Amino acid sequence: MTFFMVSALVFTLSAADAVKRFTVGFDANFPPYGYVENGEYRGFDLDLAREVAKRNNWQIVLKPINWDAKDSELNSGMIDCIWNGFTINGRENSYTWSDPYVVNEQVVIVKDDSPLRKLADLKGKKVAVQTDTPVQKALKKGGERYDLGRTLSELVVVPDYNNAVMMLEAGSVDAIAMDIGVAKEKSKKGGLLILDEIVMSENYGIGFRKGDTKLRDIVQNTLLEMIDDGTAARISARYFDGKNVVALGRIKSAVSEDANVSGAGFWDNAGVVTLELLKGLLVSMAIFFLTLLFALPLGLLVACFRMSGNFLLRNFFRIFISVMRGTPLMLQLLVWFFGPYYLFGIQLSKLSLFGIDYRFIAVIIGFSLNYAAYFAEIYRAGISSIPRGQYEAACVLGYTRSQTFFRIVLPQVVKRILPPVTNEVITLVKDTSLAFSLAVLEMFTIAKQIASASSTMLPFIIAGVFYYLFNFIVAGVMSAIEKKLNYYR
Amino acid sequence: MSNEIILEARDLVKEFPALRAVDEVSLPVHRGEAVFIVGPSGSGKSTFLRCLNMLETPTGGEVLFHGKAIAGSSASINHYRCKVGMVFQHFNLFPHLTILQNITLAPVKTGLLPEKKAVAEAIELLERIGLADKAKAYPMQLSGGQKQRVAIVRACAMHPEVLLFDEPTSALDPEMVGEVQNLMKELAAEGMTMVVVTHEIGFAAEVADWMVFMDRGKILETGKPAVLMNSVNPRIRDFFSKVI
Repeated sequence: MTFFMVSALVFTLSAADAVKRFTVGFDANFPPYGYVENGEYRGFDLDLAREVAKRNNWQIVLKPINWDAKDSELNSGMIDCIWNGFTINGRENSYTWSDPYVVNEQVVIVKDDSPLRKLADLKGKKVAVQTDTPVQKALKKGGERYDLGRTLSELVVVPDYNNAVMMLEAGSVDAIAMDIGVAKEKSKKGGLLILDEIVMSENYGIGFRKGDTKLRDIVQNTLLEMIDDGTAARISARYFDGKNVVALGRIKSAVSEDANVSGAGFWDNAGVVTLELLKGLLVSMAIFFLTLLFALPLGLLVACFRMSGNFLLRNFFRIFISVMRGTPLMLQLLVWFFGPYYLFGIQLSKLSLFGIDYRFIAVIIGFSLNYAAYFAEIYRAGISSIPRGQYEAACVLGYTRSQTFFRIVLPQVVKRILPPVTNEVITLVKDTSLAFSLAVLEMFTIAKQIASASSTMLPFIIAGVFYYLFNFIVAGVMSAIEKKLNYYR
Repeated sequence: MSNEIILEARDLVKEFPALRAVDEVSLPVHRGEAVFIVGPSGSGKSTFLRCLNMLETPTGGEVLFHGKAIAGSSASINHYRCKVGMVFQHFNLFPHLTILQNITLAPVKTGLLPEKKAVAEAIELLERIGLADKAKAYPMQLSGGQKQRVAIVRACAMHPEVLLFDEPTSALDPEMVGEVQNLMKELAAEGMTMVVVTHEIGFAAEVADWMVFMDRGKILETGKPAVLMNSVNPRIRDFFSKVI
């Protein structure tokens, strides 16, 4: 019932709007297919889409989307199609596809002074891939190039290509596997080399909502016209040097419209997803506990310095707290990770402790210092709230300053600050997902990957349940401690 | 009562930015004496008392303990403080510690007594004030009068040579004032050297060996209670006529 009312409403609105809107979803970080230049959306795919809209007398709406949320965007009707160097391979059944219009190659780029020249040289090396890209899937276990993937020492999954290139320059990874178009774009600025041997090739298509063959047919026919009259080739020439010829109509899609998404049953699927997420949960928990281990004592130290009588010390830590609280944690993580290279030229691959990757160490440093700043202010409030009489009583009984602090003040501070500390601790559980910015695979990152790969919200729901349970336990433990300290007021 | 001066203030001054709270006050305290300081509110009584054990750092003059000036390192001040106990208006018991721990922690931590001995002494003291059954209780479970008596016992556990009292009954409900005053009377009778700041003139008159009248940071007059309360000084007469 509601559905019909909503449809009627939508219909009325679009009828009132004489010109049909054609909303194209794309990843604005994917040159040359779609990107931002001088504040404008540019790119091969976007130019094609504009032309298609023009020929159909549609009003085009270019909508940059969060790549992880592309399915929700499409299924909820926020966008009409995904048109952005969108690989068909491996996603055949998830969308209603146009015929492939680009044959694309997945290649490997290295630093030009690197000794790596062949795919075989990658054995035992660290290779970065962007999350939820076909090449990531292909190199993983069960993927079509697992034969190559298994020889790597690590497949480092990064949030975007900029991040990957920074890591390559900083020496934290040895190579990046990526789309040829993007690779060319990135190598323009120099210092990078594309290996001749390709990892695999794949087909790009336009993805429509499943079952939306009507729109697909119109777009595809218009695109065919554009290929026939040479418009597509002219657009291609703007972005590619003759390679990656537009191939629509020549390569027949392997997509069979009849193929249904049946696959494994929902509950089998849930089991596998849960198992994957549990692995991520371990990483999240490691970040959580290590951060508390370091940040709680560190915060106390910072609070003491912040309250120190020494002008320099006091103000240094005032500024420290201000910066830590005033800038995004994600930015701080990037600084801790890339700082040693960009400031001191230290190769990050050489920075590791007891065999722990510097990536993870940087996450712990970043989290610990950030949370120490928040904890410091909580401690400071707690310390200030202890009545002066307590200090005086301790003082006249002959306690030294440190005895007074540790035996009299601190135990009472702990009781007083428990509620605000509980707040921070619960926030920390959820903040662990920020570790993704340094390509540390914790639970939420894995959830996003599975979700975008399988076009389902299930992993998010399961991850949400895990976060909730984790926090439920944390809150329970904290309230148990609070209760235990209730023997005095 | 001997003629030995244990504690002495000489020309003691405490200046705050806008106020000279204690203005060149000199006061000798002999062993075994109970000295009561009275006077109107804001006359500098409490500040003077707090200067005696360096809770406030005097800005002029000196405090002598057994004839030696107290000053310099915090270690020597700490040592001195162990010998001069203090009882506060608001008790200042440690809420997170049991009554027994409140009493024993200081003598044990400062190395005055081994733990066993400290506990035995504490129990003895608690028995004396009839609160032995509260040894394992926490301060919040005690009445105000009980808290203040524990605070006095806590100060006594350090074996002090002098006890300072800063308005010890001012924060108590009237029906609890008596029990605290009785304990103080007992201590005085046993020869404990005491300096007491109080508004309870009747109590002061009963217990004091010497009564000191302070006004505007200065000692106006010192004398036996009966003498002071019949002073010819109009300010002092005025004060007593209002409070009695």
